[in-house]
Amino acid sequence: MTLVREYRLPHCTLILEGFATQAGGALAVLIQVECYLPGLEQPMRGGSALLEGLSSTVSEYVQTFLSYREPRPVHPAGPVALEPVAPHHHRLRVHPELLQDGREPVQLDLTTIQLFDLLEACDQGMSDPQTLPNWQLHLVPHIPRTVKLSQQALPAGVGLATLSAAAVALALIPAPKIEPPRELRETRTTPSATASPTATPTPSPTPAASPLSTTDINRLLIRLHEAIDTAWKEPISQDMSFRVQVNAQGQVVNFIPLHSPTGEEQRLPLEQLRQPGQPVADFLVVFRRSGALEVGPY
Amino acid sequence: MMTQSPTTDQATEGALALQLLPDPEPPLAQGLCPPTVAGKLDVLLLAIEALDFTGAELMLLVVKELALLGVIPNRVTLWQLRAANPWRRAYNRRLLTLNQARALVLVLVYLAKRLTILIRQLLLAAEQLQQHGVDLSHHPRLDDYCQRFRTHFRKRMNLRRERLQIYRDDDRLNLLAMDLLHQLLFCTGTCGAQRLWASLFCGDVL
Repeated sequence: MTLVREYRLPHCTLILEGFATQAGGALAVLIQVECYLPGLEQPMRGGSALLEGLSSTVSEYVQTFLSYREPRPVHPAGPVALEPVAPHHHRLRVHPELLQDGREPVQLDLTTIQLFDLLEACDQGMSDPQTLPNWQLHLVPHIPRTVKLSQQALPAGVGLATLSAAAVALALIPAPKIEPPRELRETRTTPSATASPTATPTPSPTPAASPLSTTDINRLLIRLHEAIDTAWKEPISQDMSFRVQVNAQGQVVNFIPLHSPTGEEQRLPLEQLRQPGQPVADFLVVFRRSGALEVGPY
Repeated sequence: MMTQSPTTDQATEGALALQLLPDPEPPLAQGLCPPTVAGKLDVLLLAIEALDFTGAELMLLVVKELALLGVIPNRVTLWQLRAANPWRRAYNRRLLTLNQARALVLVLVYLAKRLTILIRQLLLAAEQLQQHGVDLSHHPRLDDYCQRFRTHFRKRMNLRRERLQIYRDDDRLNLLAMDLLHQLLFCTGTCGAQRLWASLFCGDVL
């Protein structure tokens, strides 16, 4: 039994003829499509390819219009093409191979309302469960990649190029020589070493991480001051300062000169006061040429 | 219990209507729509308000009618959703959730379908005027629509934004109004909601 479905709109009529595979079932096999549009002397007649082409092209075209406010050409070289010709005027072209009796391609201009009627006729057919159950609208919103890969690569490339250029430029600049501060040098000055050949090699001036309390340190400071003050008799012509390490009894264990060598180190009593032991605290000892002695925390 | 069941049915109806609109691909970050989605919907709703005096009030009734109160519970929420349009003066920097955007689409399509005849009449009139090279302002109903759209647009959108400077010109704004009228025509169709929904995630607001 032949079934006919007719979708009639003011400017477009779509008639589908076919038959059902079971009695009372939906129109499942399509025999012929007829599409009446204003400006056509004869309706477009064709098979399922015509229906498929028309509905998909019109659908895509309308989606571009809804998305971008201006329609964009769809399938310009395909069997069914749609493109804008003027604001709200659209040119539909259908290749003759889709048409039953067509030797020449169909081309006609549609207004937006006519286009809407054509779309609506197709949409009604697609939403109709009694007509071609496989002919349905599948519209999933697609989020376009806002930036193309080439556009993404550009900033990264510029960044890399700048980095390499900067690296080359910086490599041309000579690296500055690092000179550690004189105070941190561990070597003893030669005059004192020659003056006291018996001096033991300087133990590394490990900073005495003293667990001592402030009172202990003050006590050691006073003892050291007394010891040096009583032992120092000879005058000197220049100020000299030392980092002096003392043991728990306040006796000098080690000392490191902080001044430039003067050749008068043997006049000082530090070498005589030196005792073996474990350093527990560091003091700054300054011998003034005026004869004053200053002892303070290092 | 008996009084509860109709509202529950309605709520599920609304939820079903929302499910008809599929999630976009690839999935959105945190399920929040880009600001252009809110912008497009708001501008289309503005066109509906310009077509129909009662449009703004009707929106709330339609929300109830479509059982979307779960998504848009009150007037304030509706206003907040519309103020998510980045071109508004009162832009609130919110992003719509997918369901909020879907609910606005359903409301918009429902209102557009109510106005199908008017929209078609106006567009036919515009076509005829255009064929004869006559200005749109010669058609009283069209002129009325364009004028009201211009007023609404200028009152609510931030024309100081550089992108909107061109709309200080009446002709540009009339063109926008006519473009939106054409878009509304496609919303009145059988698959209007799906078509509008699928179009929201591409392109710019204006």
